[in-house]
Amino acid sequence: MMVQAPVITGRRGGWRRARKLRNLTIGGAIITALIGVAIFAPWIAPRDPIRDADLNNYLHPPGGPYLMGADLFGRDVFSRIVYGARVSLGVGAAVQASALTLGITLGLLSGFYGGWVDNLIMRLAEIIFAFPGLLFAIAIMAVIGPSLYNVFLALGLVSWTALARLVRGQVLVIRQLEYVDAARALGASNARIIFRHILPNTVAPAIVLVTLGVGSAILAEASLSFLGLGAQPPTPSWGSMLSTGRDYLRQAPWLSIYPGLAIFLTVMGFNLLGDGLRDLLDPHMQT
Amino acid sequence: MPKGITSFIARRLLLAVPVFVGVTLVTFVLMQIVPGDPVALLMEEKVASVDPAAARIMRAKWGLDDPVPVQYLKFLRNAVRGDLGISYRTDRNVLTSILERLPATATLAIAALGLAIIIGVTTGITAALRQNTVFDSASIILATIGVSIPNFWLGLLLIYLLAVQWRWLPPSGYGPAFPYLIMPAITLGTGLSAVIARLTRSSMLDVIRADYIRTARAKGLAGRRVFMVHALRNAAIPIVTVIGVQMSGLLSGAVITERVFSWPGIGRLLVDSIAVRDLPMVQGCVLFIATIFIGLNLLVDLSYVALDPRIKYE
Repeated sequence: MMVQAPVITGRRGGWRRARKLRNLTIGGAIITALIGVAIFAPWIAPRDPIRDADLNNYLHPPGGPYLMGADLFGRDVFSRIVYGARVSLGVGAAVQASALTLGITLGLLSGFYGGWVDNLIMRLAEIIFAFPGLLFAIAIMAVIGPSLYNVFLALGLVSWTALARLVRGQVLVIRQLEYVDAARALGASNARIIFRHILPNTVAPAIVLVTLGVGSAILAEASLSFLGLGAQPPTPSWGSMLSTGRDYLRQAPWLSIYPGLAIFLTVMGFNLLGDGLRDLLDPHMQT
Repeated sequence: MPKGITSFIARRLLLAVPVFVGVTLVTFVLMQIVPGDPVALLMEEKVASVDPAAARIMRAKWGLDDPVPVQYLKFLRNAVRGDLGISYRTDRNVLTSILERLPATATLAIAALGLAIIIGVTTGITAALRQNTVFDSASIILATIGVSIPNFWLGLLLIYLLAVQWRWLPPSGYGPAFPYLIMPAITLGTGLSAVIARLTRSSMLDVIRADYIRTARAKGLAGRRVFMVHALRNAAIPIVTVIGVQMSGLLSGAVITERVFSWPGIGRLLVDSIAVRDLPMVQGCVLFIATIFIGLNLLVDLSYVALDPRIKYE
């Protein structure tokens, strides 16, 4: 027994490390490939995703000139998926950029000033949190109308709460620590304390939240577009491609299979990358 | 029941009140942002022209000439009484229309949740007890896939394979018979079962290494008893927590699943009402789902009382 114990720990540790690297590597590879596809879309896609319509090739099955088939306007599904990477990554990055800005600002204000500012911001976050995830975005889209820009607005308004809570929590912990008192005693301004002492401590967990958040934002955009509330035709959004594909599932399953596969791989890539980063940066939060 | 718990429950119930009021406020404000006069919109919709005299009467009848704060207070008062207004489209009571759709959504959500718990907990426990075996690795990979797969895509794949190709199940619709429920329940439950499986696995791994499990074994308790009484109950707390957190995904997912399978629930009512700009119905559905969500979270919090007597209800 006494000999066995360290052997088991060693094996488990090694296995965990391997898993950690595996998540990071696979996730990183998928996301790198995706970013490459988005950047080099005009060189990768054989046809224009919107203008190259050819009704003679209505619902052309995969094969021949159409790697992933053609849609009901005779447009190349592969080219549309390649350009769709730009839409998805664009929405994901824009939503997380606004979530980061709103979340850090509101979280800092909330944690640093406390009192009614804290109360107001945290109650607001709580109310947004009281709506089931996508529902709030659906309600906003119902009011402001479907478009890709409005998707960004709706998701941006919803996505800041987790980051704000994280930053606020960190501020509350850190401002009690001696080195902040010391900085204050040395005459450091509030701004200096925030930027030099508090923000750097939130970087690691924020990176994880943002990485996972990009995946969720991409999934949310696809869901809204699938419901007809997001990107509108002819924008090559994976979600709206699937929404059309649903009506042609019998005749043209490729209209549903490939855009869905693209969303799935992208979301999985960000999930793996986020999990991998979390294991790497924050050993306490291992799953 | 100790005094602390009673006051915890009371306090938790009271805390739900401002959240509910906030939700009504947000829903009300959202509908105020809609551009255009609702009466004019409705008249154009119904009779293709706007009669100013009739519009004035309608505005007065619906209280649209009141100051906005007064309108909100009336809206809140009516919402508490269960009066969510009248649909622009069908002229029917909004709450009645929603309640008609409730059984379909509830059936779907309960079936998906049940499926997710059974599959998730069984897989998680088995994986933990057979750590580092092929089963464990396979379950981890499947869970990673399950968490990432978009439910609308999974639904379409199931329809394509099980209904179009193999003709085992009806492709969509809402029938009295059980087969209609299988694909929607799998579609909605898969993501949740993956999350539960992951968490059950890690939570069981933590628990079976704990000192009290070794003590229980050392004092000669049967393996099954150690497992059922000591390990599973303690592993249950994080599992219940994650189910609570995932309620949000379950309700949003129901909206999408209902669209995939033409399932006549509240989610489909919401999406259809948005398409025809039936604003009272949209507002009613959003408020109704959010209220259900607040209620479910309350239930999850209260279930800790039953599961873990150590939690201090301060």
